Amino acid sequence: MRLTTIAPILLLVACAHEQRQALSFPVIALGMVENPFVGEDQVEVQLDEAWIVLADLRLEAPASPAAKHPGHDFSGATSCELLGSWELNLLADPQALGDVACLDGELATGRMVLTGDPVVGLVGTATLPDSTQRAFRFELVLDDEITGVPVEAILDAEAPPAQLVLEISPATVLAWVDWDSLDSDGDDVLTLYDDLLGNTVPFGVVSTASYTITITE
Amino acid sequence: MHFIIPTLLLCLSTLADDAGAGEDQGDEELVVEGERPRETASESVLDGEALEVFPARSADELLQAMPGLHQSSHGGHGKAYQYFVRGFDAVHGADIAVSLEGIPLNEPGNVHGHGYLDLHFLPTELVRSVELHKGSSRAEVGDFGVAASADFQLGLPEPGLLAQAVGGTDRSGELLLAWRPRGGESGDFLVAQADTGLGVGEHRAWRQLNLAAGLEHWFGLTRARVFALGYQGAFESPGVIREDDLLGGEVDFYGAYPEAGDGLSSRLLAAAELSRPCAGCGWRVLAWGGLRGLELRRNFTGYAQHPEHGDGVQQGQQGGAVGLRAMGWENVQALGGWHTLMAGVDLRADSALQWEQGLEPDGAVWQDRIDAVVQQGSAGVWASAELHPWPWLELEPGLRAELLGLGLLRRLDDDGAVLVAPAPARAWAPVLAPKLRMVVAPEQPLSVYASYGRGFRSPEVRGIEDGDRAPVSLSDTQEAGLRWEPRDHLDLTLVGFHTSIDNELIFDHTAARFVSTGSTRRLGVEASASAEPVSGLRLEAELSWTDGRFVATGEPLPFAPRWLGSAGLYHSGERRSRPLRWNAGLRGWFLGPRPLPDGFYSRSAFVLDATAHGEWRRWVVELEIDNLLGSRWRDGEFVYPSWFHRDEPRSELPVLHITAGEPFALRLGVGRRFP
Repeated sequence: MRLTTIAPILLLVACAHEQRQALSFPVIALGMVENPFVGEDQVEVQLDEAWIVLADLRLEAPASPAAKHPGHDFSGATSCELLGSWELNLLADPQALGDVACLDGELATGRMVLTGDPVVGLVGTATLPDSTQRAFRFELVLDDEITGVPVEAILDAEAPPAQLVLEISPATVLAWVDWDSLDSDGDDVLTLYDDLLGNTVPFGVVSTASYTITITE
Repeated sequence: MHFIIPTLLLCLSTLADDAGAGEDQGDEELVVEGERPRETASESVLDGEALEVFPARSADELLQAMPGLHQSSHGGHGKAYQYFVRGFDAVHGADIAVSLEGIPLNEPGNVHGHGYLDLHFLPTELVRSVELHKGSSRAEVGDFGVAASADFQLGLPEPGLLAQAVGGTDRSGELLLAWRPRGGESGDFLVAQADTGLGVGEHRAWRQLNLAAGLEHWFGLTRARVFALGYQGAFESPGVIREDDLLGGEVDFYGAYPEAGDGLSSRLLAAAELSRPCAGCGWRVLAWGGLRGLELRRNFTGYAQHPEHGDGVQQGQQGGAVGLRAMGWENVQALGGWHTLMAGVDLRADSALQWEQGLEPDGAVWQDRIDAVVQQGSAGVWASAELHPWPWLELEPGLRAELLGLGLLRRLDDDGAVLVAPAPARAWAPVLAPKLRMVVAPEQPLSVYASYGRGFRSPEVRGIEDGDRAPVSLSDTQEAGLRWEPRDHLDLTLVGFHTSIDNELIFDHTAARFVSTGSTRRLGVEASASAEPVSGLRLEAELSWTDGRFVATGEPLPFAPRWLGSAGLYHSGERRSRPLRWNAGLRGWFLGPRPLPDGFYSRSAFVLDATAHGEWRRWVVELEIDNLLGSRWRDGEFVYPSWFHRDEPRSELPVLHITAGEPFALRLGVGRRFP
């Protein structure tokens, strides 16, 4: 068989692989669904303001075997990306962030950047089980990244999802607040700087439990 | 059997010399021709005319004669190639052990890559033959012999002085002076070669200077030989370009970003050898030493990792190595057959100062990442017995035992400060590598081959902790094959192989520790055919398929080719009346899509190269044509995020990056031989 005959046959046989396909779909973000809400500690919280500054949403594929070593980069390669910065009112209606650009395949985790001065603002009143009311104003300056937010989806470029919903839960952000903290400066407003040990709002802000990513068909 | 047959031929040649002592033997050299029986179905030898017409610009490229091996030259004309063989991404040589006359050439612990294999110091003019072996069934092969091994034999075939000048459309020029004294052995030579060029496209210039000298003398039946090779090279490296930039017209296929790199490379290797071959027994002792210098600058990611400084990296190494290799063999008669017993000792010590630094775009150093003194030593002993219990069976069990010692005498701490004490770390590792090969019906029209071998790769020195038993990567390869010669000048070979690695270890340079990637396996089939339908016309074709996967997940191993094929048409002729001698070769090769990280696949490529070599009286003409069809093929394809255009947002999505394959280039050389 001639070389000129063999080469095209080989090319046909061996070129059957499909490259990963690109796709995109809209992203919306939403915050509070109930206001006021009652936490597990039976504290009722009425929010007057709730906002957060988020940037650069990325979704990652499952980790490859080479990267599964403990303490190592446990996330897979970035498969979806929506670059930008958004100040989200968590008490408002869902807000459109734009279209996320993706490569098809399985997703496992999501991450986003928190950077701003301040990056989070939560203002309102908490009513404790003994009916004591405590006004609060938490404003947090942060330069961090939320990583490892669980995502379950397999993207197919032939049937792209309808949308990605990023849900931020102020209730979870505030779930670790010690409402009995001292009002150190005596201004009747609980802030990050009250009491000796401050409080745990920052933990709630960076906790992956405060964020939910859902991809809908 | 690695050195035995060639040395026996030399022995016969010497005996013939002795018989004719006192007579004027002129320039004629007695050449004893004979094809060495294959030890495994997949081994091959490139020599003589096949070597002359194989399209290869450097000794590295001669390794492409190994079916199932692919090379990528993403670093420019002077950096080590990247090797892919039998489902292994051998990077710059980590899984393929290459030697020169038995001298191991891979550089353990090289700052740019473990087992770094740079053969630019070896002029192709000096290569007398190359033995190519796949698998790890040879007891004399040590570190890095995981997927394959090769050994170059040195010598200048023609006596007299050859002066040759070469010029090419790739804006290259080369001058060669090669001299072998009249009546001298092939090991008597002086070679000087200067090679420079700008290349096709941007940032691809190079210049190289090679000097080599050798002396060979027979004291009775003992052969003494010394040789030295020196090399100095400087080269530009075009690096990679993003596929989206290429498709968007922002960069040409043969273009380069301003962040592209460059390098300096130097090597000096000297050896002295004594050997005594005779009919039935023999020994060989080789002592060698070398100096090595390497500097590389590169930036494959732009500003993605360090937005403020850029991702430029400078690596460097200065070091040396010494070694000793001794072996002996003896034929013994027992149980009605002749058997060959072989044994050998290999000693080696390497030491190097290494550094890696982060570079600003203007070349200023902003970060020290590696500042280390590394040492590695190895002591290996091996033995094998080639047994012929029956005429129809050849059996060769073998065993190699190696003790590896590693030392890290200086390193940086996490804050970048140099640690001398208590930083020194020493570790060791013993390796036992059993081997077995078998040939049923050797030298018959239809022979059946089977082999098993354990190969190993030492760990990178920079990853060891003090007192460690260093983690060694072990591979087990089983191979079975058929070789059928239904008639003269027709040779058909079919080989199947399976390689498993229990725990594949890679060195994470960022974390400076070994990372286990779990078990992997490779499965493949290789077929080759060689025919000479009429005298002087040779046809060769090869096809290989390999499937490499992680055992736990079934994911394909990235980068390693699955389909590789090649076909060649070679012609040689001679007219004694003129006198005129010529040979020519046309070789095409095909590379199928390769799995890349993150679910991508590379494109396939088909490249056709041509060579022609003619000699008329004392004139020599050489023609080399790279990429005859002028195809724009992708030599390397890589998937990762990068950020070269800082006016655009910094995306972390993985994108395809490519390195352009060799473009069309024609080089014509004219030379003259002086007696």
